[in-house]
Amino acid sequence: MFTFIVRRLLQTIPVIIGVTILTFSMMHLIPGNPAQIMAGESASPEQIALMEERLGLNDPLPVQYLDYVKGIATGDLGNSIRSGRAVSDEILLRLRPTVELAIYSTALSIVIGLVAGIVSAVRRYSWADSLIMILALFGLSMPAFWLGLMLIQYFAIGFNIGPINTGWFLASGWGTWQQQVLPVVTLGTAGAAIIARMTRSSMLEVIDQDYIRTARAKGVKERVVVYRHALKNALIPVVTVVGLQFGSLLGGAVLTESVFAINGLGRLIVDSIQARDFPIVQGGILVFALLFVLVNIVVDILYRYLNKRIDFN
Amino acid sequence: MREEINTNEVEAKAAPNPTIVKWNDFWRKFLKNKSAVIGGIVILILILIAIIGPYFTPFDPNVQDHAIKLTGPSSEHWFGTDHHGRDIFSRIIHGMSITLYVGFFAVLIGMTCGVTLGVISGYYGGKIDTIIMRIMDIMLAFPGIILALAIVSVLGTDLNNVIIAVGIFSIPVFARIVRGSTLAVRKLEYIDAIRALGASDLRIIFKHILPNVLSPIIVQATLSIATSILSASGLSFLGMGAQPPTPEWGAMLSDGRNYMWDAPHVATIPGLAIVIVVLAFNIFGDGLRDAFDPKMKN
Repeated sequence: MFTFIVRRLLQTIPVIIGVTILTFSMMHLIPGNPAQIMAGESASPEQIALMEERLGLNDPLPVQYLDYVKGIATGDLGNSIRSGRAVSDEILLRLRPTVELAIYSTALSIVIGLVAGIVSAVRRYSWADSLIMILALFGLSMPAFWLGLMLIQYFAIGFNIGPINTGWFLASGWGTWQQQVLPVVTLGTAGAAIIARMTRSSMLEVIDQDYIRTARAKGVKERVVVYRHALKNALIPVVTVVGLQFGSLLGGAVLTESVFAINGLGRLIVDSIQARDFPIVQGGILVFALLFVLVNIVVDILYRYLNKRIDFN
Repeated sequence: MREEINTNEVEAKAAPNPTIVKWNDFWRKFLKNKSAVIGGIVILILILIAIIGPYFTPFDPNVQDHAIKLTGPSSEHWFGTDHHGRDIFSRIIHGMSITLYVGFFAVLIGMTCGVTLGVISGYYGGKIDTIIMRIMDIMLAFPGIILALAIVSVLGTDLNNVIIAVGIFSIPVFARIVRGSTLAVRKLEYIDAIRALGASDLRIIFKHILPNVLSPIIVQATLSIATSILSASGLSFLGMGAQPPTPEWGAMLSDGRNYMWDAPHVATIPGLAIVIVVLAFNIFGDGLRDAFDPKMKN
């Protein structure tokens, strides 16, 4: 297990190098002079020259790249053009809501997705199965930002059922649970749909296998067959999907944060693209990618662990 | 994805020249899958609306009339009017072609690049394979929409740039599927035999490898159209894509969010339109997958 983790960490190094090359080259791919962009639209030629010097833009590219990586290693991602503050500080300030949002939504999508998928598989071809699969298909096909607006419409603005008004939750911000429910549901829905579909097909594949038939023939209770024998093996592919899901949830957080006016990292990047605050965009995208790489490592280790346990059995 | 690779292995092993048999089989299974047929028909109708619809809309999609702004659905304005008094029904119809255009072209970019890279990777193997797949890994290290945001931030905010961005982030998916299938086909003996007969690499790839990996590509392309439409409308919603007054659905939704209190229909309707289109492609794609899958009997 230990050697596996070390090997897995070593494998990430080329990916991380690639990611940094990509974010590094973003700066040089934008049309126009990076120094001009960094110094601002109204900068004088002297200021631009000074900025070129400060950014090391006169150095050869490999030297610039090494400087960039050194910066990343020491947590120096440059300064925001708008506020002048360190990019790393700006990002750290905004990181928490995004990570919390992604974690809560992942948790929600796992719980709902697993339960729905298992019910669907166990009662294959029943009305419950059909209903769940139709709902899952809708969940996959809905733009998250639209779902968010609809939830705001019905559960933040609300409507009246007799004396009750359904405006239970808040439509903007992040902090209290009234603010968190709607964004988490918004972001978790697509994930729940994907996990439900995956769990169902994975369960069905396992249920058709010989050893399950044997277990049933032996007279093992149906409940034990489903939960102890089938589910454990069916979960393995689901773990991978959950890992990938977390990544797309991180991406989806950008839209959700925008709908619910949450001051997270995604919204920071979008605002910064519009304000042409490039260092923030570059840093934010790097942090997103690194987070995703980290999650994938954790998922791989978990996957391996689940596999191991089954091997032992 | 893993399933599809196996699928192909089975298919390739099963038949000496399977094309005709396979297509007949495919049609039989596809026509039996009711939801897939419905999905396909809906897609055809949507394409038809996109092509001829704009000639029949009751109003000009961009004509403003502030006297009637934010009115709800009525017999004159079926879907109501937006904050500039524009007819939402006409805008939805005009937006249909934009949505389909975005979906098709984004997937065309992703598919062309992804299939090319995947075939090269799987067919030649070795160092080329390692390099290509590492680059794909790096691209996959960015959550989809974040990579698109990075690309748009470099290229500038514009609908065509969104198409390029969404296309680029779907490259790795195609590359991976095609690589796996190519690997499976390449190992078959008849490919060796053809090579021994003196067939060139290009001929082998186009005449023997690609037809065999076609079904997973078609399935993935259909499903990718659905996700591409979602991503692209998301980027437009964020203001990165279509610029006003283009009747792009994501951008219309974004306009509508400011009027959720007084006129929720302005945001609701474009969202419903997106759901219908994406749903049609998802259902169609699911049906295609089942029809292509030899494991699904009946």
